Amino acid sequence: MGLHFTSPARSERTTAILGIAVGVLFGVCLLTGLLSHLIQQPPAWFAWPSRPAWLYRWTQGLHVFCGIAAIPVLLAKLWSAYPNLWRWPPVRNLAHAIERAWIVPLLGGALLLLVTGLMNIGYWYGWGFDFIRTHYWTAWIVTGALVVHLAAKLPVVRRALARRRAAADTAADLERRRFLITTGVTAGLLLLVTAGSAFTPLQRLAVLSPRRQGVGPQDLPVNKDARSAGVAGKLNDPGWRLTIRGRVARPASLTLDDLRARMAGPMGHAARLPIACVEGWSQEASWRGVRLRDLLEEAGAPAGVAVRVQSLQRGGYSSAVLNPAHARDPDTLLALELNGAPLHRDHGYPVRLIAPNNPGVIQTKWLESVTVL
Amino acid sequence: MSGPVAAPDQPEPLAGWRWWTGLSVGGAVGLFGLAGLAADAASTMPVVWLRWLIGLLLVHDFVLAPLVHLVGRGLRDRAPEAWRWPLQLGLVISGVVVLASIPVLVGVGRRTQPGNASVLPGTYPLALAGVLIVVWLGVLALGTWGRHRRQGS
Repeated sequence: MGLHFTSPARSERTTAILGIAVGVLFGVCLLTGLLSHLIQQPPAWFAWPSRPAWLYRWTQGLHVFCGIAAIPVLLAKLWSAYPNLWRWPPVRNLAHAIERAWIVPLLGGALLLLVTGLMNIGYWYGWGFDFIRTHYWTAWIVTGALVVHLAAKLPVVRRALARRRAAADTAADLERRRFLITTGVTAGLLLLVTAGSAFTPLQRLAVLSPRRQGVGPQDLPVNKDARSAGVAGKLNDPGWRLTIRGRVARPASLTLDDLRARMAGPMGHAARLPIACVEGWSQEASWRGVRLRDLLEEAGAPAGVAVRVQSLQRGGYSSAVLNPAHARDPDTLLALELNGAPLHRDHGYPVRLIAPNNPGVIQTKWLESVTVL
Repeated sequence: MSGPVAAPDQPEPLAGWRWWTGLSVGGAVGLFGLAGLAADAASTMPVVWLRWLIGLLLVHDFVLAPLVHLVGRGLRDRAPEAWRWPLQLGLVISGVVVLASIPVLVGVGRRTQPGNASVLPGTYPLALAGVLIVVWLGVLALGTWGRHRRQGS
């Protein structure tokens, strides 16, 4: 065989340590991904709180940046176990055949999650299938395969981690340590040049990130601009009104001037809240507008209600339901201003929703109605 | 250098309650995912999905991994000892950073929203060159330091 594996950096211990690291990183990605899924499609038993305001931002930052850090760690893990691919005979018995068969969805699925995830945050949808649904189901497949793999390898991992060598400074040990350091440094460097799109202290170093904090209209990135959302032609319509309807005693139809007058009065409120994208980037900004709960009270809505906000946009993320905790939060605004100026059209002019601890894609822009459910 | 080393994870008999429990639980979770993927076929396009999954696996196992193996082998056989690790570090970091930067370098994302200047706002080839220069300056420093240390001792 042409491949002759001689690197002393390969060992059970190296593979075990890297395997644990991959397991932890993928575990964080799974939990934070499932959480975002629950928040955006909440079942009856699940209620996402509106506080702390930064929580969603942190979970999605963890999701994307643990995924990025997992790229070198997974590649290193595969390198350390690569000789197994060429082991002869390929299977020893039925149980071994089952264990090896599960490696195909494990490795193929893990590579698929990382590669399409990385492409997705770069807005490169070069595969044809629906990213969100495929990412979701592939995550379950990889998780199942990971459990099978762990059950097979647990004795090896325990043996490898328990073994303390008498002479810790052998040449082979040095090679192993250097290999692990190389992997860690690579993961660290990738984070250093990307994580500043969410983690403000690293903002200036995020030179390879698909998003930069502070870059965009009014110094804030835009997920979907007005033209791509198909609303650009509707924004200067003098007939535009924001309607408040549904389970209310006094339905209302408000002009932009009506909203501005309310913002100048006791209903007006300013808050510093983050836009937190499921694609990992996030940024805090200053918002000013009308408190949603005050508008609901003015319209005579019952206490503790959920509301649906509807955009002028059609299709895509054109409407969202706010649960009662978000609807009554004092910082949940129908925002008219961003960073001290009227909203740019790409940020949702004439009026948009901004709520604490809420996914960016459901901070609905270009509002036309609020319906009390 | 040492001779051929034993491949990691020597064969272990797959038996016992832990293995069978793990297989049952993991198998159920994995099959749940597969069933979901199949039931949602209009969105997930399982044939395309499978092509990607197998394609990535083949590219890794038969292109990337052998290439890394050959480069590593070359380094171990030819590079002076003081420079071996710095070069390995530099090559691994550079390779992974370049691979992870492909989406921003290709820049297809800009076409999805031509009017949105906040999508892929960087000058990525220049940024990547800057990152790689810093990395290789580090390699140079580490190698020089290692060589001096070796000469000193």
